[in-house]
Amino acid sequence: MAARRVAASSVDWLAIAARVPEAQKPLFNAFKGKSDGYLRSVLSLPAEMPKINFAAYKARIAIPGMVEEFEKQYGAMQIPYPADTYSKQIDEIQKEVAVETETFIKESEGRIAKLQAELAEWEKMIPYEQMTMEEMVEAFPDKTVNIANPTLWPHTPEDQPGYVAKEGAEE
Amino acid sequence: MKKSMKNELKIEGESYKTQQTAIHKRKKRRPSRVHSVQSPAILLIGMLSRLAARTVQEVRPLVLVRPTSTSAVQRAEQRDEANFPRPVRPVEPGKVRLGFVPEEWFQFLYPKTGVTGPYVLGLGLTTFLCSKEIYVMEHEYYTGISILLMVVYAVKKFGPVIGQTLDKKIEDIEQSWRDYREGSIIQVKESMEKEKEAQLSAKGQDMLFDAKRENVALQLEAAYRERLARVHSEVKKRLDYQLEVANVKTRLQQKHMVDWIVKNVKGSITPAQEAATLKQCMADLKALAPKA
Repeated sequence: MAARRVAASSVDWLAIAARVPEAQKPLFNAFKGKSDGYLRSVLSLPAEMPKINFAAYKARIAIPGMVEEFEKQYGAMQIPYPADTYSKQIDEIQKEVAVETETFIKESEGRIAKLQAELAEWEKMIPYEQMTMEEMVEAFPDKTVNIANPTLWPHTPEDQPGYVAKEGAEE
Repeated sequence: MKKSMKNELKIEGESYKTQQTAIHKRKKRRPSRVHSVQSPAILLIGMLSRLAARTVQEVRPLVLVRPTSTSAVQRAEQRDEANFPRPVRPVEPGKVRLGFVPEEWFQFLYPKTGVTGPYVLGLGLTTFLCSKEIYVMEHEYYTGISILLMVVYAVKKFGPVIGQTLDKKIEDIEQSWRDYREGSIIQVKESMEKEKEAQLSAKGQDMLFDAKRENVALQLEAAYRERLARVHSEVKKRLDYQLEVANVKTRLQQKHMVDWIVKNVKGSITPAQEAATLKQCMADLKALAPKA
């Protein structure tokens, strides 16, 4: 496309920065640094073709016709705008990322639902002073003694026979 | 203390409903273990067993035995709160008179015998037991009295302090339970918050792509401007070169001309002209000198 972009940043950096998680702040800063570098290099150069004072040259230079030739060609010069080969890639990657974001958000919603169920259970629980033993067993089935499946001393999961270590913790 | 142990197990292993009725009717409970008038020793054992049972009910460890049946009646959600209110741990011990006689007995006898009834009963009973030598006051009796006095003194002196320390320990344990619960709730809420923030961050990724596109555009713009500047500088360089060449030429021509003119003028001065000029200069100087 031959259209030229504005010579200023139209991206809301503050809004993006607000959404960056803590762990990725250095990456974000590096990215912003690069962006600022590009902006600086754009601003340091003039926007249009600078003018040359051909009249002065014509007065001094003795070679006939050279300055007029230069003037004519200088005015007629068409400088091609560099071709944009990367925008398409960016669009493709954006689509992929959109899909990934969708899956992540779905999983996240699932986790939130589980957490809310947990919260509801905690809220529903009666104060400990009013619990009887049966209610305690209902509230904390994994922390109370189970006559049907007794645990051996010490009563930690790792020391029971037939324990298989899980690879990676499940949140 | 086999009897007390049996009573302990009985309370613990009882089904929920009977346990509740037992607690509910604590105020009006008959001393079921004392079926007839027996020696105070058995009375005392009965008292201790009830105390022990109550302690077991009040201070429970966190890990306990699973009940043998959990039918719908015993589930927490379907509990009848009106008829079977939840047990609340009493803070004060049961009311007693004379240090060991429960208040409930006095209330039980009040309709029939009035205020002095139980006292009269106690007095008459003890008189009967002592006079008929059913309760023999032998050596161990007096030993018991001495020990009792010492015990009463010790309890009165150290009781409150020990009671407070133990109460504080219980309070710490219960606080730790409450903290666990509060902490869990806070943790769950924080996790939810974090999840929401993560969702927000994920959605914000979209904005980054606009930034990337802008980066690409900025780079293209920079390259274009650089090309413009390059063209300009190249053209200017060539023109400046020509200008310099012309300047140099003009300068050289001027210098040469000047040199040539001077040389020629110098060469055209004849010796006669030179002598005449010199003479004229001397005459001028002499004319000027006397005037000073």
